[in-house]
Amino acid sequence: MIDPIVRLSDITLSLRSAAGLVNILRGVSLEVNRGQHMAVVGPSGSGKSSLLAITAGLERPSSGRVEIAGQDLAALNEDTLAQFRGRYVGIVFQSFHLVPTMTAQENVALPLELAGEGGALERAAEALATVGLGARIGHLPTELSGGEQQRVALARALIARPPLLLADEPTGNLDGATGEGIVEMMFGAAEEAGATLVLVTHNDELAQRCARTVVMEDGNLRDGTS
Amino acid sequence: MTGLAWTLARRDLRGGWKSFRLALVGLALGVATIAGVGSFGAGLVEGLRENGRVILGGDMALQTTMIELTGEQQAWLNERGAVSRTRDLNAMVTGTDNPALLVSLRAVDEVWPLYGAAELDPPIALDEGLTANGALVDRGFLERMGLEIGDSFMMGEGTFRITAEILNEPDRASAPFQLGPRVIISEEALEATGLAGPGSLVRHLTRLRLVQGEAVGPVIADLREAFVDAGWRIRNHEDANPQLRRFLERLRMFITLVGLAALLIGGIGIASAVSTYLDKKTGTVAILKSLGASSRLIFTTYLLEVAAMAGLGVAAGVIAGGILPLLVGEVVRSALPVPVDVGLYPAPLLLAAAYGLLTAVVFALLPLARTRDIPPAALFRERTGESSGRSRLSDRILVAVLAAALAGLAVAASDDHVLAAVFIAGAALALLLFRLAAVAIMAGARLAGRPRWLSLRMALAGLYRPGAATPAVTVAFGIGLTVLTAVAGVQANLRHEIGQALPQDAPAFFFIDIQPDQIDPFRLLAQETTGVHDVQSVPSLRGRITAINGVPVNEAVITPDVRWVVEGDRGATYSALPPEGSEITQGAWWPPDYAGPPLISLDEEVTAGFGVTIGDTLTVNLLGREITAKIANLRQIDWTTMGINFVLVYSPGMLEAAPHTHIATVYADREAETPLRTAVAQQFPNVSAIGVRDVLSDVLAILGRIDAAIGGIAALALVAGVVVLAESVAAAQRRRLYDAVIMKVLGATRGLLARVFTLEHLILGLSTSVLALSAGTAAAWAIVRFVLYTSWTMPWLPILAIGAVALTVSLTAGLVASWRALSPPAAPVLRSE
Repeated sequence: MIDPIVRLSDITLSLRSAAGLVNILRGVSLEVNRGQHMAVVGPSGSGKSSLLAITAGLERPSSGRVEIAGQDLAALNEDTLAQFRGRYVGIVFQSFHLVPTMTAQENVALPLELAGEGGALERAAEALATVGLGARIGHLPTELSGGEQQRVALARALIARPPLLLADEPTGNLDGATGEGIVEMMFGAAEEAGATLVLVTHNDELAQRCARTVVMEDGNLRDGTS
Repeated sequence: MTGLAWTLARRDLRGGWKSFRLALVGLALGVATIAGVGSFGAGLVEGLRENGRVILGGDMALQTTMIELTGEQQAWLNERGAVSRTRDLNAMVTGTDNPALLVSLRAVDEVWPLYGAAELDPPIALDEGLTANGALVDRGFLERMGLEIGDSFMMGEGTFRITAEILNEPDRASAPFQLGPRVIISEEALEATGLAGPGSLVRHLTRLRLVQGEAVGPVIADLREAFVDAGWRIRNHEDANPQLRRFLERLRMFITLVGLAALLIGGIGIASAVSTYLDKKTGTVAILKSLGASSRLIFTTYLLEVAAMAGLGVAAGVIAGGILPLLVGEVVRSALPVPVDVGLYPAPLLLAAAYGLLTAVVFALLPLARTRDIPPAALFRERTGESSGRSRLSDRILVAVLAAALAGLAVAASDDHVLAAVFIAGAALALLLFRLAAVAIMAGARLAGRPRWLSLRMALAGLYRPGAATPAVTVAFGIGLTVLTAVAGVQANLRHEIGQALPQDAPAFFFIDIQPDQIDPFRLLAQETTGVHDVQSVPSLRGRITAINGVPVNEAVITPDVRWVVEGDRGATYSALPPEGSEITQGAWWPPDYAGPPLISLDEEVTAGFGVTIGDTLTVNLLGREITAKIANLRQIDWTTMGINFVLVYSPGMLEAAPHTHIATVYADREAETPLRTAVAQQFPNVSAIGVRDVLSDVLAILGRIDAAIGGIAALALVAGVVVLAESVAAAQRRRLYDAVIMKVLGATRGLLARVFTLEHLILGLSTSVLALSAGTAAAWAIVRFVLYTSWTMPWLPILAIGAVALTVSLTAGLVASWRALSPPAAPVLRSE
C-alpha cells in the first residue's frame, strides 16, 4: 500500500496586498510518496515557492488540507508546528538563509539544539566534514563563498535526518560547477537517508534527475512525469 | 529552554551591541543621574544624622528672639545637663580705613561648643582667642575689611583685636540666618558693646547636653509641659536643621525627577533601538522558526538579549552614579554648610538600577512581543501587510502594569508624593501629546500632497514613510526640549522677580536696632546727609503667631502660599495712622486717638490664607507674652516697593511700653550710600545698616549658583533627547540607504539628496521645537503661578535661544546621519539587497 508522506488537498492561498487580494494558489492537490524525488517547475510567479512554503508548514493555506507524514498541519499550533517541522522537514533555500551571527558549526547544530538533542556541535562538525567544510566550521557566513554557504545550509537541512527534504532553487544563486556539486551532494544525501526530496527549480537538467516532475502554472498544478 | 535561549542570544549578539550603543548612553545617563544624586543624598542624610549633635551644638536647642530665658527655665535646664548659651545679631564694624561693614555677630559663653570643636588659625585655644576683647573672624571678614590677625576694629562701643581666623565653626549650619561675614566674641565682650540693648534683634540659642544615655524625646516633652507658653522654638539633634534638610530633600527630588525624565527619553531610545534591531533580525527569526524554534523560545532569546544590553547600560549608569559622589564629593562638600558622609550606599544605587531596568523593559516589551508574530514565510517574501502591526491586548496590559509599577516606585521613593505624582502624570501626558504630534506631523506631510519641487516632495515623503524617524524624534527630542524649556522658564522668572525687586524708588538702606532715644537724632543725621531724599521709620517688634481665631497654628488650616507667615518670627509695629504704601480694602482704620482693647490690621492675602475675616482674632507671642487682638481691617500691601511694611500692624496704646526698637528706610543717591553708612556707624554704633543693593546682589549670586546646577541637570534631559534623536535618525537613514543608492544610480546628485535630508530635518526640528517650546512654556507658567505663587513674565530670550539650539542640533544630527547614506558606493549596497 502506498503511503504518501505529503498529501495536499485542494490548497488555496490568497494574500492581501496594497493592490488588493492576490490569489497565489488556486486549489492545488498533490501527493508525494516516501522516498520519491520530485521536481516542481514552472514560470516565475506561478506559485512554486508558495507551494513549498505550505508543504513545509511555513505558511498556512487560505483553505485546503496539508498532511505531512499523516499529520494534519492545521491541527498544530504555531509552536507544535515548529517542533514538528524540526523533526520531519529539512529545507534548503535559494538564498541559503544562514544566521549571520552564528558560525557554520553553530548554524548546522541549530536543528539538533532546538530539538533538545545532545552532542549537537560535535555532530555538526562531522556533518560539515562530510560536505567538505571540515576546515571552515568556525567561520561566519560572511566569510564563506556562496557555494560554501549552500553546503552549510544543506548540512543543516539534513543533520536531523528528516524524512522530507524541501529545496527551493538550491542552485539559483550559484555558478554551474558549484551548483552541480551541491546537487550531487543533495541527491546523494537524500538517497542515503531514504528521504523524500521535493525540489523547486527552473533548471530542466536538475528536474530531469527527479523521478517525477510537476508543473505550476498560474497557481494550478499540472502533473508532468511520474 | 532558557539555557538554549541564552545560547542563541549569546550567538546572536555578536557585534549586535553596537546597534544599542546610543540607546544605552541615554539609559545610562538617566540611571547615573538618579544613582549619583541618590548616593550623594544618602551621604547627606547620613552626615546630618551622624553629626546632628555637632550641627545643633547640643542634644537639643531652644531659640528665642529678643527675650532671654527666665531664671526658672535656666534652672530647669541646668538640672538636666550641661547648658551653653549663644547670642546672634547683626552689627556694624567700624574704626578701620574701610567703609563700615555689616557683620553676623555671635557671642558665646565659656562652655561653647558643647559638641565638636572650633578650628582656628593660628591653632590657639578658644578661651585664649576670646579673652581681653579678642575676636574670631572668618576669611570673608578679613578679605572685605583688608585686615589681618592682630589688627583691631570697633563694634558698637567696644574695640576688638583679631586673634584668629575661624576655619570651622561646628554649629554654623544651625545658627540663625544673619547677613554679613562672621565675627565671634565672648558674652562679656558683647555686654561691653551695648549692641544687645532692650528691643535689639538678638536671637538667643540655648543648648543642652544631656547626661550620657538620656533620651532627648522625653526631656523635650517634659519641657513643653513645664513651660506651656514659653514661645520658644525647640530643636532636636535628630533633626538638627529641618529647613536645610527640607531644602536639600527638595533639591534631591527635583534632580531625581529630571533624571527620570532623562530615563523616559532613554526608554524611547530603547524602544526605537529594539525595533530597529529586530527589524534587522526578521530573517534570523524566520530561519529559527523554520528550523523548529517556538515563538516562546524566540521571545525569550530576544528578551535576554535586550535585558543583557539594558543591564549593560544600567550597570554603566550605576557605576558612574556610585563613583561620581566619591569624585566630586570633596568639592561639593566644601560648598555645603553640613558634613556629607560620601560613600557607597547600596539602596539608592539599587533604586536607580530598578528604575533603569523597569524603564528598559516597559519600552522594549511591545517591540519584542512582535517577534512572536514574524512568520517563517518571511523567508520567501516581504510581508504583504497581513499583520495589523498592533500588539496583543495581553502584551499591552502587561506593559501598562509594568509602567504603573515604575510610576508607583517613583512616587513611593519620593519625599513629596503629590509632586512626584503630578510630575509623572505630566510626563505621561507629554508622552501622549508628542506621540499624537508625531501622528499629526506625518499626516500633515502626507496631506501636503505632491509639491512640484522635487526636494520638498521627497523630504515630505521621508517624514511619513514606513520606518521614518518622525515618531521617535518628535517624542524623545520633544520631551527633552520641554523639560529644558520649563526649567529655563522658571529660572528666568525667578531671576526676573528678584532682579525687578529693586524698583527705581527702592530704599538704599534698612537701618535696624535704632533705640527709641536715637530715632530723632538718627532721622536728623540721615536727612542732613547730602543725596538723601527721604527717611521713613516705624517702631519694630518681633513676634510669632501662635493661634488663629483661638486655634493653635499647628492645627489651623493655612494655605501654602501664606504658610511662611507662621513659620518663624514676624515683624510687627503699631501705628495711629494707616501705613504708607498700603490700601485699606475692608473694614476701617482705628481713630488716631484709639485707646481700647488691642486691634490689628492684617494683610489681605494673609487673611484669606488663614481663612479669617474682620472680627476674628489673632494671638501673637510678643516678647514672651501672648497677646490676642481682634482683626479690625485688611490692607493690600505692595511688597515690591521694598518700603517698610508689616503683615501685623497693631493699634496704639499697648505696645509702646514694651521694649522695642525702630526700623528706618533711607532713600538716597548711590553716591550718598557710603558716607551715610559711615556717618551712622560712627554716631550710632549699635545701629546696623543693611544695604538693599548688597543683599540683592548676594541673593542673585546664590541664585546664579543654584541656577547653574539646576540648568546643568535639566540639560541632561536634552542630552538624552539628542542621543535618541541621533540614534533614531541614524536608524532611519540606514533603512533608506537603499533608496538613496537607487536615486544615485538614477542620476541624483549628492547635493539633491543633502537638500532633501536638510529639508526633512528642518521641517521635523521646527515642528517639534515649536510644540516643545509651547509645552515647556506652559509647564513653566503653571509652576510659576501655582507652585511658586509669583507673577509671570514671558521668558522670550531663553525660549528663542533654546529654539535656535534645538534647530541647529536637529539639522546637524540629520545631516551627520545622512552623510552615511550619501557616501557609500552603490554596488555593494545593491549586491547586499
